[in-house]
Amino acid sequence: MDFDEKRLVALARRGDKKAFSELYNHYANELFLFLRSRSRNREDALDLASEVFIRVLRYLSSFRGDSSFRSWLYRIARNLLVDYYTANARAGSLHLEEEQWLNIGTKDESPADDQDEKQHEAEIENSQEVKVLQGILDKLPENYREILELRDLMNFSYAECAEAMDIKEDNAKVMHLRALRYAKKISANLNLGNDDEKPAKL
Amino acid sequence: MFTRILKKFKEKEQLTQAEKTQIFNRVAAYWQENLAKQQQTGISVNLEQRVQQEVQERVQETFFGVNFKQYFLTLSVISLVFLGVLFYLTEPQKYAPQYKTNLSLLTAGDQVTTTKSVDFNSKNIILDFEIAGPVDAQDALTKLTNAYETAKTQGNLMYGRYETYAQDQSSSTVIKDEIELWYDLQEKRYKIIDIKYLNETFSETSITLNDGENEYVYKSTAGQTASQEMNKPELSNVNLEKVSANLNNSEYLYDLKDPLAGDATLYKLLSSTREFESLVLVTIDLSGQALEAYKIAYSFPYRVWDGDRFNEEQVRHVLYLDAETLLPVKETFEPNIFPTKYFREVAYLQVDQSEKDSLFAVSQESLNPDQDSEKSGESQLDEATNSTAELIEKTAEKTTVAGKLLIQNGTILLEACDFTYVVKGSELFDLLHKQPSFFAWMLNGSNVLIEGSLITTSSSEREAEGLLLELVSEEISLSNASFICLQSEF
Repeated sequence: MDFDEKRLVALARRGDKKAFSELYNHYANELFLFLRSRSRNREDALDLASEVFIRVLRYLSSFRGDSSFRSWLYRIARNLLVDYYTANARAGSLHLEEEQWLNIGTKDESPADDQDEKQHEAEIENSQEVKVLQGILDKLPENYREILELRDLMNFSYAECAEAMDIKEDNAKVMHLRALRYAKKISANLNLGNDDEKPAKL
Repeated sequence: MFTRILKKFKEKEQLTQAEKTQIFNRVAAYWQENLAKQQQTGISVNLEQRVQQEVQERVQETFFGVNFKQYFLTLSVISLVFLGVLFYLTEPQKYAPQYKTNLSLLTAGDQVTTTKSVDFNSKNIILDFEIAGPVDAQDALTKLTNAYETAKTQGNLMYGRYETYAQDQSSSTVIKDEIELWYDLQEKRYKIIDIKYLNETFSETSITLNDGENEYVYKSTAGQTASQEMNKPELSNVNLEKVSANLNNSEYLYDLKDPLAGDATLYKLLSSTREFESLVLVTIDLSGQALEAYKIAYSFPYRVWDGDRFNEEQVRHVLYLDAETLLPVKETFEPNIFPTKYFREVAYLQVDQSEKDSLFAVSQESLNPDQDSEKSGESQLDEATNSTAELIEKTAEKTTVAGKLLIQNGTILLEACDFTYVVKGSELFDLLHKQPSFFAWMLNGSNVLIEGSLITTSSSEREAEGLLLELVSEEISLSNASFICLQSEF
């Protein structure tokens, strides 16, 4: 059965549980991954995801359908994250401690050869993926980070990315390419500390 | 490497089924709580049905993003407006607002011309009128042609219908005929549509024609010539012939042959419109022979289709009546280019200059309550009376003629004034028109105001003085106005 987002949203607005559960099943995982990439731990991400869908329920009647449901979901999640960061900062528990990042991202020795490099990568990959990813994303400029989250975690199309970031679709494609390249450089230089490169201005 | 990290992150961190259910349960709990609140407030709807209905409505209203309902509604409105404009353009005379006025046509030789209405609304000016009188068809046609030329306007065509009633001398019956024709005002020729020799005979003792004000009775009596009995005015035979016409000036001269009791003509004039301008005595030169005549003018609006739209213009009809017979001797039709319909400047144009000077020299005695408030009404009257004595000597004939005119309950009475007051003053005249109730009072009081001349039938001098005082007490500004108090010769 095709996923008819507009019809499901319309039904959900009228209180149709089944329609809402379809929407939930469709978007829950990618929303969670996005939230997980920005939250301190899995439990926080679960709480945040719950809160996002509750807000969806609460404000669904005001959703006019000007943008896609996915974009709307993303905006709610971002707003929630702002509250989440504010609360954690106030409590003195940032989701990613600088020390943690340093422990993850730096190695005392540089890889001597290809063999060593592969081994080094495997070590990183096998370590806490979340923290690694968060470390890389944190190092990215905001627009690069956003487009990677939209495109690779929330599965936005380029058109949706462009709409969410208020840029042209072609620019979204270029920006995503550059963001990927930049993220790869960071991940490759995790132990080199060479992260001075800044993205070219779009 | 980043891609692999990302991939691994997504694989490892994705939601488990248990977690997914856990989140949904939390949301569902909120849902239940919210639903319970809604039910408590009495909100109960068939959600699925409503959504289906909404979807169906949207499908019906829109098709590929076009709202056809709105589209057709707009299209219908535009079409209706377009059709309306089209109808108006194609048949303007039918759809244009109606405008009708009464126009008295003084046609040479017609005993009585009863004008029903003149529709200046169409491109083809339709003049529908009847001429009642014991005339035969041929005579009527001639007179009708004259009537059209007399009523020259700037339109293209006029339609005329002429009913004639002829007395058959042999059979003592009245015969009715009809003539219909179009008259081309531009080319000054007529096209006869139809002449109906109805030969409709009336053998009854009388035929009564009524135009709303007058009643004409044709009696058919065996062995006698049919006679007319009229309430008013009385008719008499007359035959005027147009002796010259200057079409460029819209000026027509008529030769007087048989005298007509002037009341008929004058009554016709005065009853046709209340907006007549002036009645002044002038001297006109008619074929080298000086003639005393009254000049009376009135304006009437008419609408002319200029090929693009209707133009409303004012036409000024000036008529000269022979002072003795009150027959029309000359009339002009000219555009009234002046802003006020009571324009009277030309009234004295043809008055002999010395006569005019003498008239004005007396009448310029000013009655100005504002400037001379110390003067009492009586002293003003005395002063005016003294001035009047002078006027009587100089213009006795004219003023007494003016004093002959009287409208009483819509009837012209001639030579009925025992005592006549003549009040002149342009402001007074204008003010009276601005105060129609006052004007009506004057009419009811058996007074007539013609071109600022008030003629009253006050039987005594005291009563007349009282009337003048009453006029002053009406607080009508008489500044720059003069009045003349004179005693009629009658």
